[in-house]
Amino acid sequence: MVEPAPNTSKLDDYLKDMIQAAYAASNVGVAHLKDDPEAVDQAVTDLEEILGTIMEGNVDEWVSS
Amino acid sequence: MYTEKVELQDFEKQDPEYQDLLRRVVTIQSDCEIGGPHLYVKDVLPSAPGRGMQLVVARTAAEEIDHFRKMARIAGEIGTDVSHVLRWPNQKRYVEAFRTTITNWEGFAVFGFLVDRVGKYQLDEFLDGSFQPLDRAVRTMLPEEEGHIDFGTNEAGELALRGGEWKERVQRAIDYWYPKSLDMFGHSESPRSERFRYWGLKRRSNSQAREEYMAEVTPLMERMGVSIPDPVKDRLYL
Repeated sequence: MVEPAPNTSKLDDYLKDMIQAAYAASNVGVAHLKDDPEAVDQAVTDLEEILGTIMEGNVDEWVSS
Repeated sequence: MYTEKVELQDFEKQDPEYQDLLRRVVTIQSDCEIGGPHLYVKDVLPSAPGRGMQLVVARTAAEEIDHFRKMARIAGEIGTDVSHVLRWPNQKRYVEAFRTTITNWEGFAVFGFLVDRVGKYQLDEFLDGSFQPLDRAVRTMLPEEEGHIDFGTNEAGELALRGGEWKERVQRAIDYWYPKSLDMFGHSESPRSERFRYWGLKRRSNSQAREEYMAEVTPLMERMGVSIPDPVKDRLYL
């Protein structure tokens, strides 16, 4: 079996958690589009933060925690 | 033609050329998956027309990041670390189409219409291919990619049908992205493309996939009422 690249599983786990958090925020936002603008605002804010964190790509920090 | 079905535990037994090509293709595919969000999240997410559309942009980006994750997992399992592409500046991307930014709504819509559609063609190449983990991963990615394409196609079409300034803006976006989309298929005479096919890592030649793509998008552009750009103009690879 070939040796996996270092931190393959840790990176995968971290991204999985972040993506699930993004999906959850997205679902809350969509569910409240017509009845709760504050919940939608919060969902968009959360999504901006989650996506921003992922795209900064501080992988060393993620896999060391 | 190679007809084996290769699982992860058999990767190491494969020909060195097979290993190199597989590592190369999953690295580039990873880069393309994360390259999209890097184009539009910064400017289009805050400026999308309304909260509903902001959620669409964010969901699209999250799904593309999940596609990156799946590709990065496969790359990692065959010993290739692709995590560095997460933070690469756009100008370093492997594929030229991703070395730019999208700053407006029609750009996001046309990107979904044209470039995500190329993404679907790229994923289609791996279906029923020789490397089974890749075949399984793309089957979970394709429905999401189709959702991005449908959204982009419908939104670009609706904007174009407004006529006037909006139609001109969509036309400009199509004029910009169409040549880049065609270039994404690579050189028509690429020797590497033949080796990918030999090893069962891709199904079609670059030119065949490009021709099928053109046959698919041309009637869609006609229906939008926009001019179809010259397929040779502004091209880098023919």
